[in-house]
Order: sequence, then C-alpha cells, then structure tokens
Amino acid sequence: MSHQPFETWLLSEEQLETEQQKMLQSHLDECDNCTALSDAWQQVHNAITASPELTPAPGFARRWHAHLSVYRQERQQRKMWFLTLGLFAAAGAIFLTLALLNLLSTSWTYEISQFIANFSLFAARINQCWNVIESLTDAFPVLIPIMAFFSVGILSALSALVVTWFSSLIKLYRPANEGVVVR
Amino acid sequence: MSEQEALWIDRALHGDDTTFGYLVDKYQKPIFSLCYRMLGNRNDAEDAAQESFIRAYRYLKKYDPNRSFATWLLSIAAHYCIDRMRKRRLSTVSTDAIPAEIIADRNAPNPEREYREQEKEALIKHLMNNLKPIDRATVILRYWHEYSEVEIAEALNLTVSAVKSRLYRSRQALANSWMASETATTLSERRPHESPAF
Repeated sequence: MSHQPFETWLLSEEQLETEQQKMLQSHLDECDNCTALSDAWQQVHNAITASPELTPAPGFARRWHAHLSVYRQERQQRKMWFLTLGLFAAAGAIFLTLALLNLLSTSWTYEISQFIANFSLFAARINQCWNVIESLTDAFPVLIPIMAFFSVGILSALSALVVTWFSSLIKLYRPANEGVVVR
Repeated sequence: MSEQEALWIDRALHGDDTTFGYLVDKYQKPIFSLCYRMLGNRNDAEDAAQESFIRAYRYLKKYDPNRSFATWLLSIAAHYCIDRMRKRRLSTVSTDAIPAEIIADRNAPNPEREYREQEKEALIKHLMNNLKPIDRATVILRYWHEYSEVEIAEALNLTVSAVKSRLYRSRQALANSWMASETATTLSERRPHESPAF
C-alpha cells in the first residue's frame, strides 16, 4: 500500500482541503502504519508543548555582569599584548630596513676594517681609564673604599630598577580576574 | 519592541552596562531555555546563555532596530549552540548518548509527579538528541518559542522552503524515534512475564 501523499499530509502543517481531509481519514481507517505515525507525532507534539520553559539558577544577571567584567579585562590584556607586539614589530622592521640600507650602501671590507678600528679605539680608551684609576689609587689609597662604596651603590640601584621594571610588566600582563566570582 | 526596551538598547549602546543588565534579566528565560533544549544539560546551557548575552552586548552596534530584539538574541544563542554542538561532536562523544538515570526527589511535595516530569523531560531530550543541530534549532524555535517559518528562516539565516523541509524531516524523525522507544518499552515490559522456552 502506498503511504503517499498521506504521510506528507500528516507531517506537514499545511491546511488540508475538505476533500483531502476525507481522503486522509479513509486512508487512516485502513492503514495501521500511517495511523501509528499520526499518533506518534501527536504524542511528541503534546509532550513538547506540555514541557515548560526552563529557568536558569537565581542571580543570572548578576553572574552576567561578572562575566562581562572578566571579558573586558581579557580584551584589555589582549589589546596590550597586540600593542606591545606591534611596537616590537615596528621597531624590528625599522632596524632591519636601516641595516639593509646600510648594507646596500657600503662595502663589506670597509665595514669590517671600521669595526676593527672602532673596537681597538674602545679598548685603548678603557685601558686609559684603567691607568688613570690605578694612578689615582696609588697616589691616594684612601679613595679605594669610597670608590668601592659608590660602585656597589650604583650597581644596587640599577638592579632595583631592573627588578621594578620586570615586576611592573608581570603585573600588567597577569590575568586580573582574581577575586571576581563568575558563578 | 517596546519604548522601554529601545531606551535600554540606546543606553547600552552608549556604554551603560546596567541597562543591558535589564535586557539580560528580561530575556534570560527564553535564551536559557533554548540553550538547554539545544545542549541538553544545565551547566552547558548556563555557559551558552552567558556567552550569548556577551556576544549580543559585543555586537549590539550591528543590531537592526527594525528587527525584533528577541529574535536577534535567539538567533545569536542558536548559532552559538549549533557551533558548540558541532565542536563537541568532533571532539568527544556526547554524554546524552548515555541514558540519564531518573531519580525522584523524595523531599519534593509530590515525588511521583516529579518523577513523571523528569521522565518526560528525559524522553524529550532523547528524541531531540537524534536531530541534527540546525534541525533541533528549527524545532525548538517552532514549538517552544512558537515562531513562524518566516521568523525561523530569519533567525537561522535559512530560506523559508529550507525551514519547511527541515521541519518536515524533523517531525518524521521525532515520530519514528517515539515509535521506536514505545516498541522498546513494550518489549522490556513484556519480557519479565514471558513463559520460559522449555
């Protein structure tokens, strides 16, 4: 027995004409399969429509506000990362461009000889400074503890500055959602 | 859309979170309900509903005031749930495949009624689980939210004829699943009373 178009009529929600309704009814009187299908769909429909609208746990809007603040903090951090990366990328690009331009405009042998000459000059300057310090300490031995004290002081100050800089960076990029209760 | 709602949206567009909070409060039930029917458990539904409201807040500038705000919100939630279900299917086996144990709350005023309600919910969940994510969304919008085929098409970015054919296929699948579960129940009820073979 053919179940078409009756199966389509049963499951489509189109309004049937009187003649179609009669044909469907007479088919349902004879066909157990279509009757079972019709009953099953009716039961499913009843179960769905009887099922109530569900409610979330109390405080949904409050949790949403907390969720929003976490989302904003994360977005802020992402922006900071992108900004930092962008700055580094821009600096890197500028440096590379300058280096490339420099390479194109000068010869390798000239650059190497210049580097060696500059390095020798720098080494000679350091040697001169060391000689001055040595002659000063020979002439005035009392200067040794004072110079040692100042050297340690300057090194300590520089170390403190570096530590502060790193801790500020860590604080800046650390997830800032501590203490926020999401749910 | 009411004037009050339009005002809240306008203020939210100018950065006022509190007024968007009123909208969250107003639409939390339909959005949560849709997410629950799509995902099948309360925890996932809560996460999806929260995320849907965050997305709505984020894309509020793109909202067209000529459209219904409720439809726009439901559209965001439905798309989010469809994506989530697709990802879940790719990564893990759904826990919905495992039939949930139904335990009546003995402290409830009417434990028998509570049990029947839970049983009905589990059955609906089982039936819906056999549908594809988009088909599930069309059924939910049609029967729980009483949306017309045109509204469903608008919410899910489908054509009206696609919605019609999806709804037809879903009704067929739901009716067949119902008949299969009825047959299984009848067989399991009969077996204990069957006479031995010898």
